[in-house]
Amino acid sequence: MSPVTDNLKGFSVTFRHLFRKPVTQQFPEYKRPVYPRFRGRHRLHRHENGLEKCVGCSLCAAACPADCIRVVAAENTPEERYSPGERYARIYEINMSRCIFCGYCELACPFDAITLGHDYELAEMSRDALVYTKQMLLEPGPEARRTPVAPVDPYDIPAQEDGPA
Amino acid sequence: MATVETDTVTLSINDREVTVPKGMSLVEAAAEAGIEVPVFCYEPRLGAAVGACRMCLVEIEGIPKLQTACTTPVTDGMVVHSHSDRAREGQDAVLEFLLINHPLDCPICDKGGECPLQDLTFRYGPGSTRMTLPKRTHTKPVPISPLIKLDRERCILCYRCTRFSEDVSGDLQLVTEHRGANSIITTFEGRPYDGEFSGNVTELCPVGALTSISYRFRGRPWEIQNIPTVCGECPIGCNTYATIREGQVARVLSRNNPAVDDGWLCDRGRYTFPSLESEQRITTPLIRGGRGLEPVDGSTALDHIADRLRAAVERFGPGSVAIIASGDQTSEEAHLWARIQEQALGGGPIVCGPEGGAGWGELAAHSATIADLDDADLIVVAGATDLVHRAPILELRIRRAVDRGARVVTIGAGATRLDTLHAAEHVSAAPGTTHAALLAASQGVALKGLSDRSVILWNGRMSAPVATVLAHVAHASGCRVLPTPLAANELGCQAAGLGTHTPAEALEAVEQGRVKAVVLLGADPVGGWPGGDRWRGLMERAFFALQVSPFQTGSSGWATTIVPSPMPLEKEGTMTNIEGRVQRLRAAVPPPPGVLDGIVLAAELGRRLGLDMPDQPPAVFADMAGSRAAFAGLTWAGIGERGVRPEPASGSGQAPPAPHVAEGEPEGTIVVGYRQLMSGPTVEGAPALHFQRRSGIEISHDDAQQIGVATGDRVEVSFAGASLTGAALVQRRLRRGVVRLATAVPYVGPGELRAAPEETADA
Repeated sequence: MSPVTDNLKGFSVTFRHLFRKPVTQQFPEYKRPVYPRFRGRHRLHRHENGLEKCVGCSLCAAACPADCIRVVAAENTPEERYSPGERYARIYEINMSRCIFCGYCELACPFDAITLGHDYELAEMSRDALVYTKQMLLEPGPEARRTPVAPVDPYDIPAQEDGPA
Repeated sequence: MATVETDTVTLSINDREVTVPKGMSLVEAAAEAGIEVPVFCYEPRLGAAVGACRMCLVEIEGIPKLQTACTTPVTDGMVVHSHSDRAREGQDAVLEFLLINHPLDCPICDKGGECPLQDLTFRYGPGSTRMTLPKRTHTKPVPISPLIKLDRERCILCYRCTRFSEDVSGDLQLVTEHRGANSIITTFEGRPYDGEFSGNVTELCPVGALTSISYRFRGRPWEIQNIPTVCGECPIGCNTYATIREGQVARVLSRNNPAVDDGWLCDRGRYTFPSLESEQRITTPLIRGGRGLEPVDGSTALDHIADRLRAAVERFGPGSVAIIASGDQTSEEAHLWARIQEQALGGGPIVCGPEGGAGWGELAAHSATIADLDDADLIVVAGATDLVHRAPILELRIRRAVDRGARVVTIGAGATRLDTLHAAEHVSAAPGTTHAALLAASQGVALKGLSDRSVILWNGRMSAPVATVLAHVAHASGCRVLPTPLAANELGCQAAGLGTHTPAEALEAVEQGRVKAVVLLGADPVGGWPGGDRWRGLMERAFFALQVSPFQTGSSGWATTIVPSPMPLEKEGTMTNIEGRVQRLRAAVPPPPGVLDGIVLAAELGRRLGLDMPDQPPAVFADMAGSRAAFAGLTWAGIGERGVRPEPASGSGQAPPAPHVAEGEPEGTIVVGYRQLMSGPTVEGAPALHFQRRSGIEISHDDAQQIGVATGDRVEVSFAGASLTGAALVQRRLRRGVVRLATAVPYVGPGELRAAPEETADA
């Protein structure tokens, strides 16, 4: 084999490809479908009555290997009810710049409140904007219905009396 | 033949031979052998085991049925299997039964992640349930006090909480109602659980049934850090964990140190942490100028203070600056301030606490440890008020000693909680003459049997005559004494040199015109010390009055410069507790922005005054160990998690001088005003605790009859130039002529009691 034939052979491959249809997909115009079990941006779900499924138990935060979930729980009151039960997530934040989309949070959730969806266009101009708040993650739905709940009858506590000064 | 050992037995647990003392329960014997028997209700600190939860079932050869290991004492030659098929079957069945009615709301439950029931369900139990019927339901959660909520669905009826209430704290407020499967835990007559030790039940509860309201939904075990530190609220120095979530203290737990607190913690120590974020806190240095107190930055304030102190010494000569400390400072802060006073300001008076601590040195040779109460066969508690207000956790130890068979003799005005113990004997003494009564009792029959197995707890103000009496009695009988200081680190401050004068001596120096400037370290002499008017006079006339305090106090109005200081949960350092144990305080959270660390403040000030001072806690401790005899030989690293108690000076061994005690009983009404446990700025900053405040004016039965009032009627007490009206609380066992009430300023002295006119309808 001479160097000349080797080179010609190589160039022929290049030239052949010049006349083929390109495989490039025009991304913003054309979005390739993802597989059904693709793990993208998280969603927080609601019950049918509009209450949040998340109770703020922090198990997702415990499972998260990237330590990107922050949950601060608080107590539901009869006036402000967000979830069934006593507890709800007052703050629920996912730092998307840290998330590795492993889906452990979804596995850990005892109420199927969090799932990973199919969105993957998450680029932002600043890192701060990548911290997703509960409002951003919560699926759009009917505004949580303020389920009226009777207050606990504090029968174990008599009215406080002011003692003498 | 070897003699048969009678006080130990040898048995086999899971084919492992173990030799343990006679009378031990099987659970403990198994633990000795390194074998875990699962338990819920078993807790040795609660007294005898009850076998309520049945979780500890084990198989014992020769006994046809499974036995509860916690209630079965070991016997010689016993053959026990805790992991045999039958034992496992029994344990699994118990867990399945416990979970029949236990709601599976672990994601919501605060105990989730640190729950013994959760943990044991993972390791034992069938893993699934056959229960298909609906679970028992209750109203939940029910607040049983402003501090604690009860979720009856989660309760597994282990009776730990009721046993604590009955056997340990003795308040008898948590009880069980109804029977069998319908049993519920409730408070006695549905009243709020009002006891100084109520928070302990939240820690004892093996499920999430009793939870602290302040920690509700604040964090999960994997989101928190537990910082081992020491409570800075009283001189016991109970060991605690401060739980930190996102830079804030979320709760305070006890950290069992058997030598100090035995794993208990009072509600003041547990629930005053919200005062860290109290609105009353000072967060920036303030200098009084033309328009009142104006905020400045830290270095400006330090420059100003150094300049004023230097000017005071130049203008009025050395010794013209008085330091008035509260005794809540760490020993390191105390050492640095003492050095400033000694080396830069010419050695003016230093006062530590309103009681001023004369006479402590005399008692060093006789000092008892807290653990001595466990071995004592006679405990003498001398003082006019309840022990709980000065040294709360000691009450639990005394109760346990009584259960063990110790005698308790109280000397004082009577009608304290310790007087209600069945083993208590009482020697009545007029307030102010308690030490005389103690001396007389020790020579008479009342304290017969005072020996080296006795402890005298002096629950009151320490002074030179008291110390002489205590030293004399201790020397004569060989008993040990445990006087209670008022402030958390009073002993450490004094050992570090902060405390050379009593308040009376300092006031004398002030009124002779020797003191022209004053530094208040956490102290509030105007608002909270006896002789407030005289202290106010000093501050009004002072050339310079500096206040270093976390909170605005009654003295702030007269301070010309105010510098904020951190609170105990924000400090690194050491504190010396009631028995002389040096314990480490660790900063759980940083102080608020604008608040200088106490050590840095003192060190920076010292540098501005020309002293070479270290500003890191270990270096300060080393400096202190090098120059203060009480800390000699101690190292920062050597303090460890449990603290160290240096051996107290042995004393000369010579008999102390015979005390001279004034004869005669005081005439007329004596008013005892005491600082109650739930008082002070930290309690002010924790509103949930306020329901535990005691109000009411305790008067004796005879006095009540004389002025014609009953409990609940309004009475008026005048003392120290003021008068107070409140509801009378007639105490049958209170000494005649004694009126006892909680006041902001401690007071013992003459007063007057009369029935107050009925309140008009303006309230």
